[in-house]
Amino acid sequence: MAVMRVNPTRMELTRLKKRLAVARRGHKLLKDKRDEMMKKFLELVRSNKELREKVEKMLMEAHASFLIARAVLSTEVLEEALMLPKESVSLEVSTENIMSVDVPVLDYKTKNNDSGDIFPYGFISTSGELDGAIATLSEVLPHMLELARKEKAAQLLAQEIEKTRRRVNALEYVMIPQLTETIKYITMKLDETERGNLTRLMKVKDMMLEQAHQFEAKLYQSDGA
Amino acid sequence: MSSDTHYAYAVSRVRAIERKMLDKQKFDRMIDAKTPEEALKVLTEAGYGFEDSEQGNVYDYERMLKEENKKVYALLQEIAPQPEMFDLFLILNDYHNIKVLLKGEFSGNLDEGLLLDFSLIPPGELKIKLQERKWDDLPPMMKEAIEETIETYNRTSDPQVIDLILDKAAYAHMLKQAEASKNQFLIKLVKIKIDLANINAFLRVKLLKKSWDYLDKVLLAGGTVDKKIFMQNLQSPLESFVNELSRTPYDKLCQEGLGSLQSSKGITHFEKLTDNFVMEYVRKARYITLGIEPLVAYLKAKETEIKNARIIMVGKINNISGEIIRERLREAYV
Repeated sequence: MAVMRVNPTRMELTRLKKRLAVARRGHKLLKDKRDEMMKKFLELVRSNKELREKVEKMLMEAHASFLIARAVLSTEVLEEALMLPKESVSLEVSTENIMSVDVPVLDYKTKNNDSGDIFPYGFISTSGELDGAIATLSEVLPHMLELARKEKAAQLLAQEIEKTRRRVNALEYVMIPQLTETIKYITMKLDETERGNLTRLMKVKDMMLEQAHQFEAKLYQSDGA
Repeated sequence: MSSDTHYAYAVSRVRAIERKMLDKQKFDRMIDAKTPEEALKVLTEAGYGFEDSEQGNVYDYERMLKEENKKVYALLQEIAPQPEMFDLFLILNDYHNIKVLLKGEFSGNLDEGLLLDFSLIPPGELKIKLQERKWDDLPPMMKEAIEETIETYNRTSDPQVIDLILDKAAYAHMLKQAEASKNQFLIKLVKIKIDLANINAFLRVKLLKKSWDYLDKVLLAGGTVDKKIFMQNLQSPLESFVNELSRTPYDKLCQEGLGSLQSSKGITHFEKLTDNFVMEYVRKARYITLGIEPLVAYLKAKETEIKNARIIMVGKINNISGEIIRERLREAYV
């Protein structure tokens, strides 16, 4: 593992040590976050699948009855019946925070509260098959919105998991080894200088002692003389 | 009618072409056809199709059926000594056009493809009249209905009122026209249609569990079954409703319909029964040698045939099993 290009100083060492501590803590936290998100994600995906199957089944039903209505009524009559919608739906989008992911929350309101009052056509010129199709469609709407919300949440969550995983890996396999490596390098370098210094000092001391002896010897010589 | 002898030519001509109509065997052949193309072929053999021998695509069947419907009216108006008698049956199309035009106006997007061009007032003319609010020369009933519709819609902005008001007006107008013709057969036919539409609407309202005043808005006036019977039975079980009708001609129809409603078939089967009921009434015209009756019978028979053809074609194109198609097929005239 490559060592960072830093000055092997004591200051740098403390700085790096601090960074390593932070990296370790961050790594642990992110790992927990990833695991928790995975759990949430799997739950979400499971319920999403169930819901999707349900919605698809209902839509198929609605289509089947629509088809029959289309067979019994002529195109003109059928389309005329559905030209102007009676019900209007307003949708409010807010967000909810799941593990630091902002997932959308859809809240819808229909103008009419009476669920039997959704038919925009008269009952004389149309067939009863159409009632069934329209009723199923209106029934499926809340489920479809719920499905949209869940699918979007799953998508966002997946993105976030991907990001977190990349971060965890980067910390685990790049940042932390790099930091440890560099710290080791600096410590070694510092120790090396330390030892060099020590030897130098010992040498100097020896030299100084030598000098001192010779000085004394000269002193005696001159005294005796 | 003293003018019955005028019908000699028309009736014999209709009798002759009646033979060419699709019967049960031909419908069976269509249902059992492997591909939609094959089914379409049976239709072409029976004389359906475009005038300039244009070979229709399978998905053109809708246009083809419309064309056929137009042809029937054109033929009847050509051969009938009193073509205005058939205006009666065009009224519904006019009201349909009014609905399309009004809804198009309210929603701001009008699809002119939905207008039916075999109507009393040509759709182009009607469109201009409605746009410019110059409808003084329309029949008074129609004019009143349009005014009421626009007024009510502006007040409630509920699109359903458009259908409710115009459907009512359409049938009232039809009844009036029939009464003006003084022909008992026609008057009775319109009354039967009103009654059946009412029974059908009643059942649907009941299935949807709506209130009395809603039912009141839906029901058509002028039928033989009193409105009170419907109103009183909205909250009671279906059996009592059927009992009430046991002394009317709809006794058998309701008995059978009740059975199918209680089984899983739902309203589909009932609607088929009502169509069959009309067919049965019309079939009496077979024993009338001279008069407008056989012509009307032919018209109704042709309408049923076109309806059947549409059911089969839609079914074939969408791969619906023959059984489901057969369940919905109306009884053929011949």
